[in-house]
Order: sequence, then C-alpha cells, then structure tokens
Amino acid sequence: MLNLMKQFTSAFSVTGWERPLAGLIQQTLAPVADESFIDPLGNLLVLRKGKDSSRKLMIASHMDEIGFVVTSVDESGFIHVSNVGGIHAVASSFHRVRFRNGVIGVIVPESGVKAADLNANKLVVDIGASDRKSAEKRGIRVGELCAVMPMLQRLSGSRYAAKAFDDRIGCVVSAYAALHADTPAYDTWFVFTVQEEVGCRGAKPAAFRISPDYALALDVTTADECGGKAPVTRLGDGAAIKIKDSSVLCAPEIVDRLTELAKARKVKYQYEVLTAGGTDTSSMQMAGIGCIAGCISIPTRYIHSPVETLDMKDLKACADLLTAFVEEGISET
Amino acid sequence: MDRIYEIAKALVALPGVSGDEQRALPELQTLLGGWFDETGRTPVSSFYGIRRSKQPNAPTVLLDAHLDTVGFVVTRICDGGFLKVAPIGRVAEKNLSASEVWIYGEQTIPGVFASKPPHLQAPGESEKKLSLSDLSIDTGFSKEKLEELVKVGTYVGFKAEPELLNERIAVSPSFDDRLCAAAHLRALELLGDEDVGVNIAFQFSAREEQGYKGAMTTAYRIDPDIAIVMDVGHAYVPGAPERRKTAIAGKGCLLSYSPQTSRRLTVWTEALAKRENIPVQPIAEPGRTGTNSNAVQTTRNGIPVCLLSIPLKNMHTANEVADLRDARAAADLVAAILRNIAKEQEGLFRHGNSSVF
Repeated sequence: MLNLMKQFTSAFSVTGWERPLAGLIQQTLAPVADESFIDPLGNLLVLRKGKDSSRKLMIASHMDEIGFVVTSVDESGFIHVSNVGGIHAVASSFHRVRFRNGVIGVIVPESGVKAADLNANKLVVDIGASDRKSAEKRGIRVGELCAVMPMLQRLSGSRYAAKAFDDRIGCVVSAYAALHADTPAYDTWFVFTVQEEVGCRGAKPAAFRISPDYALALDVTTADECGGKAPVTRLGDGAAIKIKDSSVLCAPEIVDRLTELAKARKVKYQYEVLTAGGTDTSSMQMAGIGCIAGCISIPTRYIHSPVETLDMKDLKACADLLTAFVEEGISET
Repeated sequence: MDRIYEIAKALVALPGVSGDEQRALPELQTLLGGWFDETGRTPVSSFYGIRRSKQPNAPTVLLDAHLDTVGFVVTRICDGGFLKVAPIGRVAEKNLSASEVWIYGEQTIPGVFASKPPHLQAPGESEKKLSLSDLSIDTGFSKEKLEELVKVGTYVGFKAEPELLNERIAVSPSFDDRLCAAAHLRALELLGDEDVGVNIAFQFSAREEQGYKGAMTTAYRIDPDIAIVMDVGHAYVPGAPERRKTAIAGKGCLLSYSPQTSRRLTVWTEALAKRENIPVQPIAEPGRTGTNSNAVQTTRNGIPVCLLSIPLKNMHTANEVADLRDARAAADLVAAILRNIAKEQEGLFRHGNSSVF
C-alpha cells in the first residue's frame, strides 16, 4: 500500500488535467480489470465482474488535486495565478510549485499583502524568467496548471504527511481493494473521478452511465487538529463511516451495513458527522433514479495544505472495510 | 374534524428527518397503499404511488410534496445523559431552547433541548443569540444507558403532537411539508373513482431539505408530462416586510410565478382557480423558489411545473402554524387541475411516450 501511496501522490493531477494519474491507475489495475476505459470527461472506469451481475456497485475516489491556473504573465516574467479548488493561500505561500510540463517555480504573495488579506488571486509564481517572452518560451501561458511540489514524509510510527493526500489516498484505498478483494458480490465499477474539487462534477456523468444500485465514495475527512473544536474524527481511531457532510445524508442502509462488516471483520471504525465539505457521494446519490449511497472517509489532518497528515493504520482499516463491502455487498434482509 | 387535518395528523406522526426517511416507509405503505394502483420506494427512500387512467396512452401528472423534515443528528454523547447534535436542514436555532424532540435510536426516546433558566444567566446573556453548539438535548438517562440506545449519527426530530388552536388554525412540527402531502391526498379523495384521463403519480420525496435529491431522482423514475409541486411558503406576520403581504394566511393557497415554473401552466391554473372560486394568492419569485420545483423542472428533458404553496408561520420550528382554509384551497385547486388538464392543456403533453407506462 505504501508503494501505491508513493506513486499516486507524486503524480500530477490538478483538476482539469488528471490524465497522468488516470494512466498510472489504469496500468496498476490492468491485471484485475474485466473492462477499463476513460470516459469523455476523463474519469477512469474499471470493472471487476461480480457473482451477481444483476446489481451494480460504484466506488468513487477522485483523482484531482487542488492547484493553480495561470491568469496572466507580466512584463517582468511573474506568473499570476488563480485557484483551482479550495486553496489555502497562506499554506501555499513560499512553496515550490511544478507545472504540467515539469517547469519548477516558487509561489509567493504579491509584495505588501498582509496575511489576513491574502487569497489565491494575490499569489504569483516566479520561475526565474526575466520577462514574459522567456516565461512563454518555457511553455508557461495563460491556462497552464501548477501545484505545490509533491512531498511524502514519514513522521513517526505509521503517520505520514504529504501534499494532496486528498484524494489520491482514496484512490490508493480503492485500487488496493480492487487488487486484493475476492470475487465481488456485484459487478463493481471502481471509478477514479475528475473535477471533484470544483463541485463533484466528474462523478455525475460516470454515475449516470453506470446507474449503480449501490455507491460508495472514498475521500478524506477532517481529523483532530490542535486548537480546534471537538474533532470530527480522530487519527488512529479507524475508518470513518460517513453519516453526513454538507452535500449528502448517507443512506442508513450503507451506514448500518458498513458497521456490521467492520464488527464482523474486526476493523476499527468511527462515525463521521461533518457539517461542512462535499463529496462525490452526493453526485452518485442523485444520478438518474438515484442510488443507495454512502462514504468511507480517511481521517486526515490539515486538509488542503501541502502537509496533509494521516495514519497508515486508518488507511488499512478503510481498505479492509471497503474490501469487505465489495466482497459481501448488502445482505438480503 | 377537518379531513385534511386528519390526514396531516397521521403524516406528521411519522418519522423522517432528512437522511432517515426510510424509517417512515413501512408505515407510509400501510397508510397509503390502498390509495393507489401501484406504490413503491426509490433508492433515495422516496415513496411514490400511481393511479392509472383507463384511457390508452394517457399522459402523466406528477404531484410532489416532500417527505423529509428538518431535524438533527447526534454528534456526541455526553456525561449526565446529554446529547450534542448538528442541524439537518436549516433549523431555526435560536428558538430551540426547551423544544421537545424524539430521538430515533435503538428505540425512539423523548428528549428536550436544555434551557438555562433566566435566574442563572449572566447579565445580558438572554439577549445573546443561541446557536446549536451552545445547546444540548437532555434525555434523563445515564451516559452508559444512553450509549446503548444512541450512537453518533442517530437522527433526532421534533416531537409531533398536532393541535388545533381553533377550528381552522392548526399547529404542529413538520407541516413543512406534510400538510402539503395531505392536501395532495385530499385532492385524490375529492376525485374519488373518477377517471380524469391522466395517470396521477404522487411522490413523497426524500432529501428536499438537502438539495432536492429525492424529487430529482423520483421524477426521473416517474418521467411525468407535467408536475404540480407543493410546499409551504412564509406567511405574512406583523412586522414582516411589506412585500410579504402577498402571502397572508387564510387568504388562499399561493401560486408561484417564477423562472422555475411553467408560465403557461401557472396562468392557466390561476384562471381555473378564478373560474372555480378557489382562493389563490399569486406571488412573484424572481429567483430560485427554494422548493422541489427547482429540481423537477430540470429532470430529464425538462418538465413543466406548477408550484403551489400553503402559507405557514414559524417554519422549521417545533410549532409551525397553518390556516386549514389554505390547505383546503390547495386541495380543491389540485383536484380542479387534475379534472380539467386533459381537455384544456393537451398541448403540454408528450402523447404517450412516458417511460414507466
């Protein structure tokens, strides 16, 4: 799993250009895929046939990460940017960034901007260009995408910090289950979605195409941060079974079933009631005639910063719980 | 007893906080199974029922009201048998203190929102606006016992014991939107066995308070030719802005002119109401209507929608107040629409390519 984590978090996948990661995941899952293709929006859909082909399960984790888009390049070669997704401007300042074509720069606030007034539109990227022409020569033009440089750092024990675990770590969990689960209960579509960070867009057409009976999303959720209020989840307390976030109220059928499976397989779990945030769960729940949808969340600290932090034990718990659901589905009662 | 009130009373007694609607479905099936030729539930836990016309290729008219109610979800179980909760839907948080609730755990248990007596408050504290994070629900159980009955994620709704203030004014939680469902059902009752030349589908949609998900997905399944959405609207109260005077409780049901409704259908409905002496109050909603009409209108190829509302006071509290005359007007109007639409608004129909029939 660590290996997948290293590979997936180092790929470039800013919203709107998820193809490098899609290619990587497609290759990784090729040995177990009964069918695999990329849809017009860029979602990767991988099918594993199940025992019961009359029903369909869709698993969604989003490939895209937050980043920046170039809005202009000025005379002195400074590259002005705007946010793609929910950027924490303070957290992003004074980091190295990498463009789609591999060009490296540093991202800094415009001079004189106070921390309280800082937003993504007041950040500029310096790639060392002396003027506009030399920036353009290096392939940087309006519309180019960049993100903070990949980083993966072990802290202590099983805890790791990385840039944009959100939600490549969900992709890791999903890919792990796809690779290791026994024959799925139902025809199971592992979907790696695009454009989640800008309104859960990718999952919509994918769910519409599949029209699943059941759906599960894999995404990160807020975990205890120092100085915060009562935590939504705790690092190390296991897989988080989502009750709600601001975009969705999960189907109680899924919540109850995941609880049962966690108990049966001795997987550590906790519940998540999130009063903010949105996930692909919502998009799947409302596609077509709708479906029975829920979400397993990976407890993560400092979400949308370059140092998102999680515990591998939780990750393993999420993967085991997802595997259990894929193998056993919803029991008939 | 007023018939609509009787139906509404049975409906508001059912559980169904947004996200927990499936809890209401078995009882709903018992209650309404006999009203329709066919009933069902959808994956998002909406209930629907269909009355078929004997006419070949009859078009389908969808009646929509939402099943879910605002409420709460447990976030923490605390010492002394108190629960901390997060809101589901836009609850009027400042009015919660001392409200009674039902907690839908392993078994349904009562609780009350704790309230700090004025004697114990610091000077100026009573003027401070309460928010949900200051409040907890007292259950009277020990923490240990409570943990057996309730978990993080358990849903909580207002306790429903409807009452009549006088013969026409009723008070209850969850009139949003179950009073509207009662009006739709009353319209079906008024039609009796009459075949009005259209299939009538009734959807009691889930997740309205959470982005209209039930209406969108159920309308997708039913695939109607036109839809009549009914929800509650804000009734004028003294001190409210002058513009709210277009919605006065007791003066009839509201009829919405909005970009999210069909003008053709609405104009025709207003004329029909006039002809049949049914009191209606037209209102203009230039933006979003905040109802299922938003979602139903854009389902599949698009569906012409007419939006009716029943004026309501104290919306999203434990004591919503409605004038039953308005609910009666709404029921009469829905019945009139169903009786007349096949012959008078044929142009709105697609002529028999509805997917479920």
